[in-house]
Amino acid sequence: MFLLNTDVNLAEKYERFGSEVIPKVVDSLHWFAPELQLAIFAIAVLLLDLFLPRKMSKHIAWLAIGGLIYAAATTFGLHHEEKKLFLGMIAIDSYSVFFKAFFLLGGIPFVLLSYVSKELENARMGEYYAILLATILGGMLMASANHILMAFMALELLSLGSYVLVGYHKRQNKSSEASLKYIIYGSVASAIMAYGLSILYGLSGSGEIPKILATLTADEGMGFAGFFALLLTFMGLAYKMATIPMHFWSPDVYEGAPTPITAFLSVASKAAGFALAMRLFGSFSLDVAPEAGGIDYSELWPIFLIVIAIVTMTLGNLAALTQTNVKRLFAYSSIAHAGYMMMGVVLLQIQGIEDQAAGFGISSVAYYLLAYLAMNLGAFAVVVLLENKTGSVELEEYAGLGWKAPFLGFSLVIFLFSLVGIPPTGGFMGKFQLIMAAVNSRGALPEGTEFLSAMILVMVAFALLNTAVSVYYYLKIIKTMFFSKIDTNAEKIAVPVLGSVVVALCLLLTIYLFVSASSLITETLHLEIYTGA
Amino acid sequence: MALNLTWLTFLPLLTAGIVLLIPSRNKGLIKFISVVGTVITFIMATGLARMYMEAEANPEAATGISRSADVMLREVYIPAATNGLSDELRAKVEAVVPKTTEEYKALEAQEGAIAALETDLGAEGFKAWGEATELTLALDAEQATTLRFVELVPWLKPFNINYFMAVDGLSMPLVWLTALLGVLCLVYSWTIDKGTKAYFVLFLFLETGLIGVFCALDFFLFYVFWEVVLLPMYFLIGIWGGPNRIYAAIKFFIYTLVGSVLMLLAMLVMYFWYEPHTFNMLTLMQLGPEIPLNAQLWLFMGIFIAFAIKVPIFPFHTWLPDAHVEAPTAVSVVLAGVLLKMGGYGLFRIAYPMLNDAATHQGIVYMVAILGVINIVYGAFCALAQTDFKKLVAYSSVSHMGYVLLGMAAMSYTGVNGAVLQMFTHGISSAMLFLVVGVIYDRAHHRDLNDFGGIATQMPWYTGIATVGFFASLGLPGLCGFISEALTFVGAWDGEGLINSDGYTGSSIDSQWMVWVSLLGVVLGAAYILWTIQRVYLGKLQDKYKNFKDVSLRELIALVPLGVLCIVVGVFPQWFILDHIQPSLKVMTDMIRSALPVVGAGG
Repeated sequence: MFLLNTDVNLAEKYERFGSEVIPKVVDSLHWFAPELQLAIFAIAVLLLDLFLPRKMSKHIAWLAIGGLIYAAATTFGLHHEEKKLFLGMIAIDSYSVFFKAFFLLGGIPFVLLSYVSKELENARMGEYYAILLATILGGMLMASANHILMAFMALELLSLGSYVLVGYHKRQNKSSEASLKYIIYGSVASAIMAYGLSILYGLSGSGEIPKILATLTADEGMGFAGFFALLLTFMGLAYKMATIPMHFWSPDVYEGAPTPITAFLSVASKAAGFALAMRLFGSFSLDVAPEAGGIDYSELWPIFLIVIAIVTMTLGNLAALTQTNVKRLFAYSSIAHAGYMMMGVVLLQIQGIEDQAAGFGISSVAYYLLAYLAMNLGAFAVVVLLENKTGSVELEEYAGLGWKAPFLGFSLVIFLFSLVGIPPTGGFMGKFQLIMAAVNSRGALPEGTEFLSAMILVMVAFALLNTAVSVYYYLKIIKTMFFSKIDTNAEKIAVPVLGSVVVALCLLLTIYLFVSASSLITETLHLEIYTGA
Repeated sequence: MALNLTWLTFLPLLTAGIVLLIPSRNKGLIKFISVVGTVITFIMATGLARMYMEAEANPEAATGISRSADVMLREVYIPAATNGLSDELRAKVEAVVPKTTEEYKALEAQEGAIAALETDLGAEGFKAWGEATELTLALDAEQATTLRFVELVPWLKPFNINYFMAVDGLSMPLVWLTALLGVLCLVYSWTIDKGTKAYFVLFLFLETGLIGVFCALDFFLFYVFWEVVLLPMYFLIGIWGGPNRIYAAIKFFIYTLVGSVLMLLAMLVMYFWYEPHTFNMLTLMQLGPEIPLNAQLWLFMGIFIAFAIKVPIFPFHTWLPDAHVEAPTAVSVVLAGVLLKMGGYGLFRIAYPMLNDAATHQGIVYMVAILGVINIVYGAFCALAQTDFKKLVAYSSVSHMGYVLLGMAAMSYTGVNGAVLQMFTHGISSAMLFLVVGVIYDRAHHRDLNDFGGIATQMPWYTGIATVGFFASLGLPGLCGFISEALTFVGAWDGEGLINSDGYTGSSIDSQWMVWVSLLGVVLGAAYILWTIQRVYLGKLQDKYKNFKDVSLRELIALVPLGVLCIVVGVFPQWFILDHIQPSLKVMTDMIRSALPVVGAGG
């Protein structure tokens, strides 16, 4: 890093600071506007909360929504070109813009969901929304981090906010327990990741991700040291993505957290993890010319990730089969979905894979995240609205609810079918692309990777098999709602309008992602990660 | 409203949308609008069938959408593929599009030739080249000459997935049958009082899925419709079914999904086999032989299991009796009448033509034929053992679908004609039998065969109509079942080995014991059907059945058209259906058989 360069004498340093660094930073501010705006809004929310009477604090939600929309509009308004900001801390590229838009626009329904949730009715909502905005900011920074320090800080910002939000019902044992578990797991994961990142820095002499990747690829690669560093770094991200072996926190945390926060964790937190993972584990090679008879770490790494993907999806699905608590069920289901998405991440990690095939990997994960946002958020919105009425998230309490709340029931059916991956839904299109990207990559592999090619096919087979397994528990919810207690003349439950709007939006997006997928797929296929070139 | 396949497919869905807007207390209006929707669909299907027959009889005079697929592709869709390019690029692209499949194969065999084209034409030009090439190959497929009512719209451009619809002699009868059963089932369902709106909406949604499956000519689109059928069926069985409905519904769902997952994998492998990647079924048929036999066998097994579950073929059949017994009558009718045909149709449309090296492989021929024989005999034995009226009819379906397999495995003109006709006739007769069961179940509230007796004296009209259905199912000459079963047997019998020089089209099964064993199925069929008639309709009437009313108007509307069809197809098979499906099936059979080894002329 420039500032650590000791060869330059002090006077020269100050001069360069004035003539080069400051203008660069000032220039960066222009491109950093969406993040700044969001931060300002977060502070404004906090301040406004001080002056509003307690009863009104709930309505600060609208200011938060305003902030999200404003920042999103700024994001779209900026003319984007690939560049790095703040001396290489942040990257601006189509990839980061996509995820910024994802977090900002995706954040709106979470705010609305918190607004209508009865569970959060008597909480201090001003602080809540400020923290939520800060957490979303953390996600945005994670997706655009170009430097390992920034990546780590963004991850911590996201995590710290999440810890507080998970334990927001501080008087409820379950919520506090969840928060504590989340913190402990999170700290361990962060520590491991920090260690991994430090090794990466040591190996490459730079903190900028493109430079690290370039160093990893140059000369003979890094062999075991590189592999080990990546392994440790992966653990930190695995915690955010909720893949094995760092998934243990998720069922308890999902169950204990307020339901809107569970929804947030399952979508936004996961998306941030995947966004950083794909940037950090971009194309590199660990061994350019492996020794004869030695371990080829370049091949071992993707195979390791394939195994992670297979075990994650299988474990998530099998554990979900026996759940009776809807939130726990969705926790395991979200682990399974992380496994599916890992299929796309794996493709970036294969040394010498053609750019087009790796790009397809990025695209399929990005598209799946969109679909996952629509269907999982939609499902959680229904869970929140039903919880408002029944005060419970036990599956048995859902008996006959489909007849009492036909619109919610119908929507949940679509969301669940989308989660299974059955057309005509976005979930199908997403899973289809993940599988397609994986099968496609087999034609783009370098010579001499027959084993890897076979492993990819095994992974796809597992994904398909898991789809069949997952049907059982998703349909269990539908079965309970519609089949167990058929009462067609049941008195209908009144649903708040705002809640219905969130559900309807998710429903439309779920269907839209299937019917008019063409332009969006083209869009995601063009996502490019800044390589510092 | 234009007369084309898109309207035909999505009209039921549109009706469902309208019905959704009606408040659920207006039950009468909901039923009325639903039935009107299906009636219009049926009229459209009939209109299209007429147009198809006319175009088939006089191909030169065909105009508009009646033109065959090859003409439509050449005149309309191939030029459209290069639209939007600059004139210069367009000329350049058109110059290098291969004119025939041979030319394409030569190009593909040439190392790096396609990659060179890609750099030469640029991304945009190469994409257009891919589309034009794909369609040119599709045009080459013999089957394109018999497909009509083509609609081709790009859908998912990045993956080269099209909304491609068309029908030929194989699918037209099934589309028509679906539309017909849609009307009859909804009329029969008039008494559904529990969740009326949901029931009719789901049923209409189901009809869209079913018609779509038979019309789709893009593998991806086919898969989408295939899966779409699952959803409404799951709910129809799960909500309106019998006591064990939840088990039956989930069993049906999981069985079918496991199959479709296998199909998806096979489909993707085939998609990526060629450059440019394509899901176009016609193109895939042309390129099928490119895949080495070993890989074809794997793919064939994947696809075969997917369809075998749907047909259902032993040992994947166990979901069927459960689903049938639990499903409400109208759903059983659609299940037996159309859903099972999706499996048979898929084998004919996808597995056999696209992977014909595998399909004509001796091992596969024997496997399919033997599974067919097992279905016929085992299904019949199971039916014989049933005391539940509906389960008996369900197992008779298993038995009857075995004939389809036998005819298909034979791959002779006669056999294939018989198999396709059997799908149609079984669609009529089994639908009728399930309605017959429904009529008596609605009155007696049980289906125990041993508890009935003498119904004929109480309900003479009902008994008369039911007998037509029973005898059609049994295969009595003069009724529909006889024709198709006889054709299948003749087709499977005539096997002197795998010879196809001199236009010889004998059976590809070169031993006759299978036909002998299958004939046992006919005998057993006669046994269980006659025994059923005797137990239910003949004998002494029990007191508790004395107040039964004869068939109502609603039931008559559902039953009589099917009864009439049984007779019409039985007496005028050539005029009513065979003449119109034969040309398509001949083309298809020739194409499949082209992979058979040619033993020297006259050998």
